[in-house]
Formats: sequence, structure tokens, C-alpha cells
Amino acid sequence: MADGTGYAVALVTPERVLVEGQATQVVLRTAEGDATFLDGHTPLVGATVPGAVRITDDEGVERTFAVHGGFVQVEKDAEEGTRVTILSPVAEPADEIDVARAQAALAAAEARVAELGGTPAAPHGAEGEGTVDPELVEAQAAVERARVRLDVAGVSD
Amino acid sequence: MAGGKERLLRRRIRSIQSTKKITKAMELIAASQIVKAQGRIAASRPYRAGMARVVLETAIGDPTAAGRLLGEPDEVTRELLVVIVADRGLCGGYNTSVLRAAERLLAEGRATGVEQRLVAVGKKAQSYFNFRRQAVERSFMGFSERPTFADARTVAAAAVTPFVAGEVDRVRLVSTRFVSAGSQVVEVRQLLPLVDPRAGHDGDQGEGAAGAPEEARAGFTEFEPDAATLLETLAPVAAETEIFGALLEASASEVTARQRAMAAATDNAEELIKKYSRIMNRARQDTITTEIMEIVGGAEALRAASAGENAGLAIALEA
Repeated sequence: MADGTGYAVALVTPERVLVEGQATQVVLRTAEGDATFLDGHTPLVGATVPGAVRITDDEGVERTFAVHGGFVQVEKDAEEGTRVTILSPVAEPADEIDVARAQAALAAAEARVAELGGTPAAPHGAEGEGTVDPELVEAQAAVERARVRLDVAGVSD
Repeated sequence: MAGGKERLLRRRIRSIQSTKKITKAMELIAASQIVKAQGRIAASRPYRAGMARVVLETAIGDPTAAGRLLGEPDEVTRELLVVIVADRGLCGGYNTSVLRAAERLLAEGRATGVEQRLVAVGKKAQSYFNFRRQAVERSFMGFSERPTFADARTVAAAAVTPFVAGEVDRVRLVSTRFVSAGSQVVEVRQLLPLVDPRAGHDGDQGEGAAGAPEEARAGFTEFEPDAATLLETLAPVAAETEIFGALLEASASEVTARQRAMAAATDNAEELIKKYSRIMNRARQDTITTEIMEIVGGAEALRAASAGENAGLAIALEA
């Protein structure tokens, strides 16, 4: 299907499939920087960094999603063409983000971090931090999530 | 004395009837939950399949990247067990069969000198191990019937962290697999190191595994970051996904077991009601018969004593 009509794309979370269809372009950020996926991209497996994912569908409409970590896989199949799958534990469409709630969550999380005596710089892949206080990690992750949401929703804090 | 036994039986029947109403309601609730639980399993499938494909791709793409994160552990001297059961009882043998399997693993561990740590999911696991004075490292409860992904993450954090930190050599999961509405089996499976998908006997990744033979695909895929580093982030997430799947299947199995147990209880109650009603009716009949016999006997005695005078009464009785 390399004739410009797009390729298969899916944005999947554990609880629902957010996007499944045809796209002409996907932009997201991996551990090694921003990446744009067009039709015919080399097969790839990458870790995504919390941030925005922009998917342009085959009608030229761009949709933005906030993803909080996860992976992207590009597969190329002789018959089915390119297929980009984004797996994210937590993701939501930009238009579903409740800005007021995200702001409140950010404030609450920052307060919590300060209370626990940490800096709001959340480590990525918080699960791996064996020695630090799990509550602090969680609070830092909450700060990070709220920031990503606000960022994707187009509000800067 | 008359009616005493009858009253007792009537009371018992009434109590069984209200029990039956409760079990019937629980049965119906469980039945509706089965559908929802199955729906959640179905909704999680694309993610789980996708995760399995990513793991497979990484394993194929760079066979040297596996390290201790993938495949069989070299030597197991320390192990973490995650036991998943329900928060509530009233679900037949559901909890006991999982706990029995866990108990067997613990006995094996004691026999072979493997140091074991426990993570309990579900109130019943916690109370069981507490009662048996088995140390439980972490216990989680409150979501056994409706686990969310966030719940899975908290459990995963407790299960994965010791492995990543190198404190345990293996993490195993004891839970119930929801094969179908008619069949659920207790299963012990290895969570970490990740089961090597190339071994190819894992049922869940079937749809994604098809495609080019792996030799042909090796080397074509790019990894960002490199496969070994990627696997370090991937393994915890894949384990978390696995736990989420296990929690969902456990919840579906739990409500199915409960539905079945409550249906059996309702049937039992019905049978008891039938049985006691029969006994009660016989008792009532007996009382009536006895009363009639007494009246007739009394009348006979009276007539025999003074046949002439009381003829009127005797006639009235006979009529």
C-alpha cells in the first residue's frame, strides 16, 4: 500500500485502542529524539518518551495525543505494507485532556513532592528506582504526567 | 405440643428462602460481571499482543541482548512469588485451588533451599498467609473484581523492583487463567526473566508471531535505544502488562466461579425448601389426624358412657 494513501497505524493502551486506521505521518519522541514516521520506514522498535504523539490521517487531519511512556514498533510486511504501533500504558487524546484538572493535579503533585523533600524532576521509567521512596517517585511521575498533559493541551505552566 | 414442630420448620423454611434470595441475587450480579470482565480481557488484548510483538522483535533483532531479562534463569536461589486470588469468598474452590498451588511451590522451595518472597494480591491471600504465619512482603487488595491498569502497575512495581535490583533470580505468578467461560485453570507462570517468545509455545502471542522466519528478519530492525538498553525498559513494562492480563483473567475467573457457586447454593436452597416443606406438611397432617382421632375418640367414649342421653351429639359428629 505504498501508493500515498497511508499506512496502518495503531495507538493502543491497556484499556482501549485509541487509534486504529490509516495515517500518512506520525510524529513522536523516542529516547533518542523526535522521530517522524512516513510510509516505508525501516522496521524499528523504540522506547517513547512522555510527550505528544501527532498522527496525520489519510485525509490530512492531524490529531494529537498525550502519551506517558511506552514503545513504538514499526513493522514492514511485503503484503501489508508499513505498520506503526504505539503502545502506551497511559495515553489520551489532546481534546480529552481536562486542563483545569491537570493544573490542579500538577499543583497537588508539586506540593506532594516538596512535602517529601524531592525535586520535581521525575526520572523516566520510575519503576526502576529501587532505593528511593516510592511515594516520591509516584509524586514526581504525577508532576511529569500533569506537565505532559498541559503541554499537549497547549497550555504551558 | 401441637404445632411446635411445624412452627420450627416454618421458621427454618423462611430463613432458607431469604438465603436463597441472596444467593440468587449474587448469582445474577456475578453473571453480569462475567460479561464485563470478558469485555475487559478483550479490550486489553491488542495491547498485550502488541507488547508480545515488541518483545519478540527485540529478542529476534539482537539475540545477544537478552542478558538476565529473557529466557530461563541460570540458577534460582532466590525467588519472588506473586499470588493472585480474590478479596472475597463465596466463590467455590477458586481461592483454595490457587492457594494450594502456591503452598505447593512454597513447599518445593523449602525442600530445595530456595529463598522465597511473597507478594499477595487479594484479601484472601493475605489472610491465608497471615494465618499460616507465612511472611508476606507486600499485599494488595480492593480490586480483585475490577482491576485497572493502575492497579496492575502498583502490583508490578512490587514484583519487578526486586528482580531489577538483582535481589531475586526469578519472579513467578500463581493465578487462574480464564480459558473460557466454562474452563478456568490455576497456572504457575514465569514473569521474569521474560519467557523467551522464540520458544514459541506461549499461546497469547500467536497472532503477532506469524510472518517472516526469524533468521530473515534479524538485523533489519533498528532499535532506539539499542536492544540491550531497550530491553531494560521493556522488561518491566512487559511484566506489568503480563500482570495486568493475569489480574483481568483472575477477575473473570473469580466472578465465573462465584456465579457457579451461587447457582449451586440457590439450587441447594430450593431443594432444602422442598424437603422441609414436605416434612412440615406431614407434621401438620399428623397434627390434624391426631386431633380428629382425639375428637372422634372422645365422642365415642361419651357415647359408650351414656348412649341414651347424648345421642344428639353423636349424631351431629357423625353427620
